[in-house]
Amino acid sequence: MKTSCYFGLACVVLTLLFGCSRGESGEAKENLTVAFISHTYYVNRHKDVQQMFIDDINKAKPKYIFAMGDIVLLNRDNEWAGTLEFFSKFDAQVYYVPGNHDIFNFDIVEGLATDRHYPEWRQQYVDRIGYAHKMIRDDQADFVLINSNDPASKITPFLDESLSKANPKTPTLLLSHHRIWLERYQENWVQWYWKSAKKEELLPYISKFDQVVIGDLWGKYEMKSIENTPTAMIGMGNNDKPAFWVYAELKGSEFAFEQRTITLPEGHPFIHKKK
Amino acid sequence: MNIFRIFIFVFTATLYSSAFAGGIEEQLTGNIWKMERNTGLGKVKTVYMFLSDGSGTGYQQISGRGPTRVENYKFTYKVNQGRIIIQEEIAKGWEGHFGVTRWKLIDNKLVGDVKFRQEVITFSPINL
Repeated sequence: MKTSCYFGLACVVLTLLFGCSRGESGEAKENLTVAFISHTYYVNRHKDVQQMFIDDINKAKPKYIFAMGDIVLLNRDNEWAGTLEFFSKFDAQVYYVPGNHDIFNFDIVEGLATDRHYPEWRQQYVDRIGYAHKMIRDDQADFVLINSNDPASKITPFLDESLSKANPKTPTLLLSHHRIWLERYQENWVQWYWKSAKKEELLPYISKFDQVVIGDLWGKYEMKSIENTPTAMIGMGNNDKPAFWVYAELKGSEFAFEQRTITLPEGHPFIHKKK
Repeated sequence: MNIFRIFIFVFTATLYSSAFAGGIEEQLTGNIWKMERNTGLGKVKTVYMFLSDGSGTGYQQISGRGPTRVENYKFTYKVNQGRIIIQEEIAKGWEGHFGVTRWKLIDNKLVGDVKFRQEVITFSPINL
């Protein structure tokens, strides 16, 4: 009797253990892998480099690709057509985090000395992409994508709602183009490229997330701890900066990030070496 | 005695600041203000007209690259501690965040609060 009880208990434990690591079909579940890419307007004029990104990322087979902003430079229709064609060639589903260049047209802002067109441009972005803020719920992690060009009054209700929906048993990541923990914010059209929310308005939210990813770093990838939250900072540059993307794999309760650099042939026009 | 001194100070300061604010409003409404700039869009001419009820009108003409374009818009303004704060016409819910510019009146010119690269954006009164 006692032996059968132990046997039953062991069966329950084994079922629980294997149940957590196997899918519905019974096959072992693979760790969630995703790709991050940012400041891709730098490669919009280089179809060959775009193709290298497509080949490299498709080969890595991430489940999702997150474009972390600034996918166009001047926010013009022809640029959008080209860049959306580029992103359509990835096998994985692409999700977009709006950058300042994706919503503002700096030619107009700086020319007319005003940013009063922001609401129209934001709506244009939503018409193109389908959303400005978005939550992606996966059974292994939740991703909360915010439009950091918006003021806090538009961002915080979305953050509150997303955090209430997030699965507490899996990691929740905050994805933003701007570094929301910095002091600088738009007070005037001149600062159109900065975030709109003040530091103190969004800082309390950072520690509510397990990890943060931002896309407005120039020419490099770096890890940092912000409010004790691991933060990945990603962004391509030009002038001898590498063309790269970041591969991330969920290991336990955290994503591990890895920079993947595209090797360009010597003298490639993407690399404008500073004299 | 001390209370009397404080009273005199507050009274003088209030009188001074209201006279100062009144001066700015008079100057604003008594002129039509113009700015011309060469930009990536072409030549941009901007004219501001301030009314005494706190409203105003902006007029922009962009020429030199393609057909000439014209844009009119309304704004509201307030004078606060010597600064003129303009809120240009914008959809509800976005006021205070976009279309806001801050100016100072210096030597009969409207001078932008923030430099654009090395450029100080300046409106001058139109001589009619």
